[in-house]
Amino acid sequence: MANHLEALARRLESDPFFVACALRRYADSEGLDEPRLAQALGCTGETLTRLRLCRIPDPTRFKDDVHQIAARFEVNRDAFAQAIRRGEVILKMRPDTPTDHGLLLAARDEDETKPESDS
Amino acid sequence: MPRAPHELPTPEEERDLHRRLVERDPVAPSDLADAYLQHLVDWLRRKNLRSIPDDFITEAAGDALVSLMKRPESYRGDTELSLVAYLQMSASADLKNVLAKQQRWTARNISLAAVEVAPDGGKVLSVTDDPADQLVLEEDVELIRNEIMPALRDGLTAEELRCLDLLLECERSTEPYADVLGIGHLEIDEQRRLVKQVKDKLQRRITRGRSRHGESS
Repeated sequence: MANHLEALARRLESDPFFVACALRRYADSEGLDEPRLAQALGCTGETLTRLRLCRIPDPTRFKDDVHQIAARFEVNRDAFAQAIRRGEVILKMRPDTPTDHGLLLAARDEDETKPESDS
Repeated sequence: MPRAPHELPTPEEERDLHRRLVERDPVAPSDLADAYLQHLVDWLRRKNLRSIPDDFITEAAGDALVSLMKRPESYRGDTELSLVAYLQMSASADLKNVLAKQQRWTARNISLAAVEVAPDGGKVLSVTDDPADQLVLEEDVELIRNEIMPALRDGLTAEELRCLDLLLECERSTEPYADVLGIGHLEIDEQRRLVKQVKDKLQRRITRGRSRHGESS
């Protein structure tokens, strides 16, 4: 059973719908392997697998969702929240992420985004 | 929602789990996977050929769950269908998709020798139209080779034995059979008729051999 859940969690590392994706990006950025990621979050490897299968916290109720997930799996809430936020930022900065266009536009001056006029 | 291994949720728990998915409870997808993944893998394994690789089974079970996690409205809790039955149906369909995907990959690797021109319309036929057939066929070939073959070969001529080998290599075009039977000089329609006669004879033997094998196993 654990193997099937683990395999599914690994598959979902590329799907931003799931916590697995943000945690993967965070772990990569910090150079953490799975045991060390579990340690950073204050949980076991088995709990980490179930944690990764959760839906990513909704931005409109981020604190509540993080609290709910952290309480359910008894992980360090602050460490978890930080990992998710960091993972999501890294994900948005990836060039192949659909939201990247908006991020790049936001980084430009307003004038740069206006189409050139004919005159 | 901790539960013993292989213990499925009760109808009340099913409804609650589905409601949580609809309400975007962030923990609900994890609970859904925990509750049903192993069951779906076991169920697909029981219902399908053992020759289907475990990876395909696991992928299909996972696909069914992920679909429901993302679109919980696709299951209507007010119907007669239980959540587990819905997931089983969904996983079955996903397994067919996985097999079809694999079949498309396999099809690209099928040699031209396994493709023939249909005698009536000149239409090119692939080895099989049903994505799952190739895997079924592979299992059949293994069964025939290892368990039915010895009885099959009795009484066949050398040419027929060679044709049997071609059949087990999934060869479908007329030409190799005609060569083996030494009838390549005949009109193509006559070649097809004679090859069909031999194939039918072999097929009847295989069918009888399978029946006897089925009775004895």
